[in-house]
Amino acid sequence: MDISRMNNGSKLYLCKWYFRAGFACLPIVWLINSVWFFEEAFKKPPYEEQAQIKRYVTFSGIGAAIWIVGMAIWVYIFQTHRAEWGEFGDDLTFTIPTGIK
Amino acid sequence: MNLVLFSLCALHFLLNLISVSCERQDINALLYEKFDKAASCFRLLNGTHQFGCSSSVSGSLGVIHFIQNEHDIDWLINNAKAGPYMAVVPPKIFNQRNLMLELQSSKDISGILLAINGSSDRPEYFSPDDTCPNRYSGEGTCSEAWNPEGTSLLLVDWGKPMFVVKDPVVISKMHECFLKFNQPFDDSQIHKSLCSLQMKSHMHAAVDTPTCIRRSNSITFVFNPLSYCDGMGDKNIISTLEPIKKPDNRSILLFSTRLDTASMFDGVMLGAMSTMTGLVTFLATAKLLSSMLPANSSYERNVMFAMFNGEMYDYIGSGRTVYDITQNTFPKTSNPIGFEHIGLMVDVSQLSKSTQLYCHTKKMNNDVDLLTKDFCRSLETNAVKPVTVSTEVDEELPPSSVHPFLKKDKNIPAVVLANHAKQFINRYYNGLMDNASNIEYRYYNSSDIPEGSVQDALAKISTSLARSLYEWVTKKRYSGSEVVKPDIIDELLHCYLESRNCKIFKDANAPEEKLTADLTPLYVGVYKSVNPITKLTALTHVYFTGRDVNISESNCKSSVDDYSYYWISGQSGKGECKQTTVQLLKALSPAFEIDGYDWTSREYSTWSESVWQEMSLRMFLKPSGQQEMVTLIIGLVTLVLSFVTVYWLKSQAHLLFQIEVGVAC
Repeated sequence: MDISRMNNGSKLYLCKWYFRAGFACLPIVWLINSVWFFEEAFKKPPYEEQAQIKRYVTFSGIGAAIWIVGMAIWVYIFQTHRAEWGEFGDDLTFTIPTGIK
Repeated sequence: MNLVLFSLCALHFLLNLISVSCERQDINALLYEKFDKAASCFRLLNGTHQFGCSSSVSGSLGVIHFIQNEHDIDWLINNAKAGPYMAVVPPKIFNQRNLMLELQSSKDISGILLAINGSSDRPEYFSPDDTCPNRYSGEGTCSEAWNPEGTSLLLVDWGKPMFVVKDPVVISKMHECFLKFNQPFDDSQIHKSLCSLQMKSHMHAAVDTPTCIRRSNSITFVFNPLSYCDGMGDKNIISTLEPIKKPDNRSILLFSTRLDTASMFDGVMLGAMSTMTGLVTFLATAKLLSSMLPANSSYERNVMFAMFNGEMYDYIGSGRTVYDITQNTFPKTSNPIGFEHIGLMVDVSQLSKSTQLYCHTKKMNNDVDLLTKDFCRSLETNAVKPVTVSTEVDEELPPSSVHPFLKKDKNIPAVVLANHAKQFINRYYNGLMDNASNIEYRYYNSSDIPEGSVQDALAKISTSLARSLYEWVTKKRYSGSEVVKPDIIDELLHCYLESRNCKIFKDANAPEEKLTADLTPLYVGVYKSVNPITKLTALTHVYFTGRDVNISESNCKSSVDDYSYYWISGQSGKGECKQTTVQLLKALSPAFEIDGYDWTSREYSTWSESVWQEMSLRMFLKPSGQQEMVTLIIGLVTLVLSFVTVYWLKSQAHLLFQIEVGVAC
């Protein structure tokens, strides 16, 4: 989809829905929203709906960032402690590595 | 005519072409020398630990270094720079536990290769088993060092791969490559291409049996069907002299032996003295006893023949039997026996050409003493010269199948027959060199067997034993003249130690069955499938003890009432029907079947074997670090240059490739 051909109302509608969809634990949608509408929100000459788009883009970006940081911390903890956790660690693992604890 | 000649010529040419193209000439074949005859050490687990070896997932690499003495190990661990190394050790180094553990704990050693340079490369002793085998599963504390020279290397978690090579040709190839490329042994090694080995034997299981069983059963198994380990076990071979009736309050003599050996390396385990001598004596004794006691007459007492499997791994088979007796399902759910029926247990352990037999009994200070001593005395009086029997009273009996029974009920009268007193005579217990030469066996192939040979000794021990069993069953001395002929022992040992394609196995099999000449290892393995050697031994037992019945081939199958029927070749080779009570019963530790079993309880065996995908050993020339670096840099430079060139060509394309418009062709 090429958003440059859309009218401003549709842009706002799309951006709003991407923002809302992200709450369903879909940080990638937030990430896409913040990248995709970045130009619309901050680079384009001002227009009526821009303030709202700007808000959605900012919050989507923040949300995605929190997710990324959270995931990174979890991955670190999981990778370093999986073996220690024993049975609980195995239960959390999808592909149990062969030959190691 | 000419046409025929021409086609012959063409065929010849084609054949030549094929024979030439059979030798692989691709890069892989030129780079690597693969050794197919190498056997690998693998990983085993019990309720609390992991043992044995494993390589990394993609295989472990290391520079070959032949070790002759302690100094070589010192140099390798402390001074060598071009590591990691693959330590190639001779048996005499492998025998020294401390040196091996030094290699095991060093980060610079990526693997160990045991090189046995032919059959003459034989140290005075070689036993990787514990000084007190099955230490944690026996009855008692294992205070005796039965196997004083045991190194316990079987019970080490090596954390690296280990292989064994017994072929002198392979060893000399490696040694040549090692001398040619790896000398001199100093820091200059870093700058050279070095002769190296790759060992691939990655094991799936880890930690301990409960962990890997849990992992194998995990929910993600549906999406990710990777197995980790399997419980060890096989089948016990159980039969009785007379079928057990209902109700049957006859006292039973449980006559037992073991059917397996332990080994660190896959596919190389013979156990000549550790297991074979006892097993062969057991089979011959059962054969003689069956012919001494005529069929279809009722005796006051009964004999149960039991060959237990997996005994080297904490008594898998006998432990299972004890469990089945407590569950009232042994030997058949319809007519089970209880511990109270076992009037005496006699286990045949290690034997050899020594005619001095030790009748081990346990010091009990009660009536049990009388029963066991009675049997030893009867064996003494029935001994056929030159066999002599001494009664050996122990605090704890030698490691044997009697232990699980005594653990359950210490008042079961138990006797263990062996060629040793307080220490094994066998200096190769469960070792790689426990082969025919350890028992000084050579195949006589129906020619006269001299007195003093192992065949002669075992035949006489069998005869003595059968006579005392006869006396126990009938309460009368045997007055006949039947004996075990040394030929039978000769043939049996040939079957087990030299070639499966032998007379007795052929006679005992179905007429159409074909046997290969190779040897089947006696390692118990995983429970999933029945070992070929278990089947062959069961059929031999049927052949020896079964009664001839006049039934045609089509009707000679399955079991009716108390008996099973087997159609076997027989001596004539035409086929005959045997009626027998032989059964193959589950020899899988109950630990794998009891819900919520406490894996640390030591009640039953907990051994499991890891799953692996590939085992391979190959040799190649590893370039020096410098050379590898140069190759990498040249590659990178080429890559960058090609980008620059393409970019430049593209930007100058309008000048370089002027398209001439308007030129007619």
